[in-house]
Amino acid sequence: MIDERLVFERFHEALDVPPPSGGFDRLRIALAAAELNPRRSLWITPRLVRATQLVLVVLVLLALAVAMIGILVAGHPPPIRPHGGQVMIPAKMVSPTIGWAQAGLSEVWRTIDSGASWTEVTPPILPDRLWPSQYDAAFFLDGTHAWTVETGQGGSNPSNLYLSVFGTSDGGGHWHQGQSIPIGVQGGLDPVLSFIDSSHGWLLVSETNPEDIEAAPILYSTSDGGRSWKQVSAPASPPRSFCGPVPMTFVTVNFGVRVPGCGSSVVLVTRDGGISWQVQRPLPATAPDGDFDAPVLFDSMHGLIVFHGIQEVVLVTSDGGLSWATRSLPETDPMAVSFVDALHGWAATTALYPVINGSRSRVSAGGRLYHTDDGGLTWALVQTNLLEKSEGDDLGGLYFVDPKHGFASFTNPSSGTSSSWLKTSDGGRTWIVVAAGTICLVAC
Amino acid sequence: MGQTWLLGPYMGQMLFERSEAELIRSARKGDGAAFADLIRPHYVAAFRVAHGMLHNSEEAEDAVQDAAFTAWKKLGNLRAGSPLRPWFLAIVANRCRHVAGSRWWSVVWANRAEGEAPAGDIEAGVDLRRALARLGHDEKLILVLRYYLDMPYEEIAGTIGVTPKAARTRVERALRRLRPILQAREALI
Repeated sequence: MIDERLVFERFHEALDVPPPSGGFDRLRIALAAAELNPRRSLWITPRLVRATQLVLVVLVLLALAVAMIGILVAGHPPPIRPHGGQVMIPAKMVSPTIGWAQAGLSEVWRTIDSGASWTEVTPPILPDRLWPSQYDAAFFLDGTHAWTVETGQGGSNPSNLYLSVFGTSDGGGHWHQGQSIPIGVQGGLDPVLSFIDSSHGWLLVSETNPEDIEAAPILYSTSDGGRSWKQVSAPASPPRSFCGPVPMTFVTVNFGVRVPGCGSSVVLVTRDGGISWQVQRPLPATAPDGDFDAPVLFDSMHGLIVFHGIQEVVLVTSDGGLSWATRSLPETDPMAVSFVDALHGWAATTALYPVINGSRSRVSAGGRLYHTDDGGLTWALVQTNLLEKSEGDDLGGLYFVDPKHGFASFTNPSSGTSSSWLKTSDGGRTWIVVAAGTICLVAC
Repeated sequence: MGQTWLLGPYMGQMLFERSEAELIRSARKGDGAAFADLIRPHYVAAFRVAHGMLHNSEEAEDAVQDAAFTAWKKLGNLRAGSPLRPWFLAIVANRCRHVAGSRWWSVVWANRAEGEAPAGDIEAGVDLRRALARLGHDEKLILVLRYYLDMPYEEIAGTIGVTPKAARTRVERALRRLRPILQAREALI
């Protein structure tokens, strides 16, 4: 175990540098001198002026050099990466073209061209909203239906907090606000939404109180698209010691599965719409803790959950969650996994950074792609151009929407900031770059 | 409340400090100086975030300046009563992501401006900075917020837009990746 005080000391020793002398004054002068015009997206700052002058000088020198040298040296131009814009990594692609994304500050975005461009469709903001976005959640059902939940303060008393769900049925063009759900909590919230159709949905609220002890989550349900909610379960029972949002998925009005946010390996299954939850332990008791992805349920009987332990495994059920079988992935390296139904799935190696001699070294960018058509019993290597298209970047995620169409995200390992978004229309054999640039997180 | 900025920024603030709400109103109307005064209390924290992410003072100062202009432009997104600091630091962090992404070079500097730290500490610092440089943006950011800015989990959560529990989990995960470095230094000491 590391003494946390040691960590604080090490960070301060390593990073402590005084702010630049006069730094704030320079900033204030630049801001005061800048021309603020809402119709312009660029301010002329002194630094920008200097940079522009420098660029002009360099261009003139280059032009002179080219004129002197001529075109004696011929060569092939380097490959041009389509970088330059901003890339949004979707929260969910619901079809080969339509997807939803969330950016910081509670922005909701929607694409209809596979992620090449995005339109902001952020729902209305509660006038007394608890800010920033840490108390929010969203669920994207299909191309037109989506819901978000916001927390209102209801005055200065923290026990007056309330939740309000906003829903849209036209792709974010209009949002309707559901009834307020009062929640007398003293701490933070981890709401999670899940809908099975345009009417039926569930809202799970986990409270974190100031003593950092999580109270039992409370489950609400709606049958009118989020306009009204009723409490399903009393704040009781299921095992806790969860952390963070609790991934929860329903597929019918009765069948739902949820898993811990982290640090445990139990699976909770309901067959009565969330009134009662059966605790299941599909992994050996000796298995080290790990993290679950959100459960993926295909129908009332079939579903799966990817478990990230020492290595990833897929837990598969074919009897409505009564039992779970373990499916191995094709490699022991970390993998991204995506299934479109109970049989068809893909897995691709992600970047590998093992600890060698006390430091992490990148030994693989990932990108080897496998396919299964028997629910993960067997895997076949896919002959693909994914690695060439990735240009050495690290695979971040794999998102298939049907047996033909899927997406992959890559991140530049040296910067962690450039990203590319790729698409396949033939089951993963050939990929094209849809968008590339810097990742958009907040204030895009 | 009088407009006293002719006295100089600091003197003016001392004599007739404008409320945050008033500064926000002025900044939204195009008063850059008002916006500067709005973020003045958070400048040092913003610089520390940027420096912790970029490990370069000049780049950090530039990143904070760019972030300040972005924040000014996006000030309309800040809701009444919302804390300014986590919102502004989030924009600074995002700006650092852009700066690091546009780099064509990468240096882990060994010499510090102070130049007075013992050699062992400098080596330890370089080790830690190298280790941080290998982390992804998000992991590096959350460790910088926690262990360099000494932020409580609630404020980290507000800055990166997750719950406090999720913030704690992410800190622990990121720290796990640094553990070999920290333990190696501990063993040497």
